[in-house]
Amino acid sequence: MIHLQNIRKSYKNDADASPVLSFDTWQLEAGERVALMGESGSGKTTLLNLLSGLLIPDSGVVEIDGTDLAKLSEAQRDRFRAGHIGYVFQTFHLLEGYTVLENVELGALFAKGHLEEGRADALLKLVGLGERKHYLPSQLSVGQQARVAFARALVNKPKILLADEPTGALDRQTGHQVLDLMLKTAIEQGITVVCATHDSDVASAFERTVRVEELR
Amino acid sequence: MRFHSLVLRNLGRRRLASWLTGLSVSLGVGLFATVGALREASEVGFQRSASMCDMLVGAKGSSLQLTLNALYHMGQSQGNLPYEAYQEIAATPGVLWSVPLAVGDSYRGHRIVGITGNFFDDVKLISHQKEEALEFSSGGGFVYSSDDFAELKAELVEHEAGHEGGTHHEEHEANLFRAVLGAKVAQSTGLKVGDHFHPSHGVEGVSESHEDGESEIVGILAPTGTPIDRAVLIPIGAYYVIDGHEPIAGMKEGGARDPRGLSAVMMRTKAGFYRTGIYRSVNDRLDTMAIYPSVEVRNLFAILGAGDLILRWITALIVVVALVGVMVAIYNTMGARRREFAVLRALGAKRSTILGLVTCESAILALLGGCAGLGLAGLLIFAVSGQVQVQTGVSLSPSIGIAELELILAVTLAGAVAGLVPALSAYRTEAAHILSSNV
Repeated sequence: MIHLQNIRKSYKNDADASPVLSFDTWQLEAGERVALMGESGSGKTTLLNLLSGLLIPDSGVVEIDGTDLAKLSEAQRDRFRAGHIGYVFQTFHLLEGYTVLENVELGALFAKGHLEEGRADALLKLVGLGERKHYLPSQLSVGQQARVAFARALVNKPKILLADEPTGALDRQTGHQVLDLMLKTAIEQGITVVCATHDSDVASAFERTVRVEELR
Repeated sequence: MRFHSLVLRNLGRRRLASWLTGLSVSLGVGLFATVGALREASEVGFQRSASMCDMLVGAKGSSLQLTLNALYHMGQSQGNLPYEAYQEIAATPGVLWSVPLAVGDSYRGHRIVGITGNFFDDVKLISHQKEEALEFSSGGGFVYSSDDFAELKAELVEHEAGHEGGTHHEEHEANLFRAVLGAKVAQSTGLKVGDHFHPSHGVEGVSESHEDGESEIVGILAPTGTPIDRAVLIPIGAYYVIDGHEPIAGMKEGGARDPRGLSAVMMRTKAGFYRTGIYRSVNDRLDTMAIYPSVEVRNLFAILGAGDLILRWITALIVVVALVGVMVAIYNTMGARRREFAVLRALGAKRSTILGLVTCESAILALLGGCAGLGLAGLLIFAVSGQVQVQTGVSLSPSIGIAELELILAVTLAGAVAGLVPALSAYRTEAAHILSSNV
């Protein structure tokens, strides 16, 4: 499902700059749910960005479902991301000025084909916000915003869900609720999950935990 | 949600800024379109008025002054041509019809023009290669022929020579003191058929009234969109029998200031050889000048063209400044919108989609501003049309044609180009970097 090989990624053009990420191989099976742990600056977010195609490695292979993202053009990677990957950010990054429903629908705007009628509504019901679909993000609690971000990530029926510290901005109880919802849905829908976190309590909810430092 | 709703939503979110930038574009486009429409309508209107006759004859002097005074009732007469010259020229083979004109009096700011009665039948206005006869909204024209005029002139000459008493023109009075009003004159004065009025001597404002010139209104012309609408037409003989127009003792007959002369002669001539022959023979005379009014109008607009071009450039620059305003307004939002673009990129939007999004916002602002500008131009034209009609006789009406649609297209494209600067800034958004910074 996911296969990374000979990855090297640095943020400077200087060849001598020490890479943020450098490892030989990493592999995930379809439907696996993996927590990615590591210190701040260890490269967790960079790895997620490589998996999403937002970044490409300086060298190496980022193969998802048989497609090497590093060999695609940027536009092809964008299209691939729109169709295959859902992304939940630490601060959720919902767009103000758009209702909760519109924020979820935005997730399908750039994918091939039309959004199924009622899919965004159904997802909002799934995350318990069916009654608040016409609210603006600023009218929601942080926990509710996290649920909207999760619904938006699922709207295109992605094969892979990437989450960058999704509970980082939430209190423990709300964090657990969001995490439970995410994992339960992933299991039901067979979605591969890669979740960056520095919280071992969160990581323990996943099938497998990988420390980024150990990839090196 | 679709791409276009994303564009419209973004504009709606910055409602005030969108309104203000759209307004600035609309003002620029409105001004540009108004100036263009006024210029075009003026030329069309002037040419329509010039089509009343194909040749004008007057005293030697400025051809433009003769055209403006005789046909557009503007400015002062440059002098008179002798009556005898008129008789000779009118009798020239190839002259289809002629109408002698006498100007110099007014009624409540409207010029009074002395004519012969064939004016109402012979004068045709040509618009879009179609001839239109003059029509009356009420009443009709007066009968006063060139023969009646000749008879009166002969009596006046005899009277001056002392061969008859002082009541020489009394038998003519029943035919003389009648008038036909142009549509605007009737509208602004409220006069109707059967009413009487006293003309005033002179044309600049209200001056002394001719107590002996009380005239009855016998007809009101339908609107023509020409200076005829703001003229009071009377039999030309009336000019010669009312106070203030008597010859001055010792004045040389036939001189330019001789009140016994004519202000001008309108003529329709046979085309080709006849027309050029008449033109040449009139100009060969020492006391007369022939001109083609349509050529004079064309020359006038050629002269005005340079000034008009400058005005058009200035208004075009206003549109450009407004479009720069659109660019600046959108550019200023780029900093605050980077996160939005980054999120859209993370959701799968291509860089070109982000470029298109911002470019479309700019183009739509320009399009809406342009459309509003055309509406504004329509209102401006409607607002000034009455005054322009009164001042020049030119009829203006707001309309949307190919030129206006081209203008809108050009403004929209220019708006899109203006949007490219902020769009390129948006295009360069590095989603991974911005989303990772957790702002």
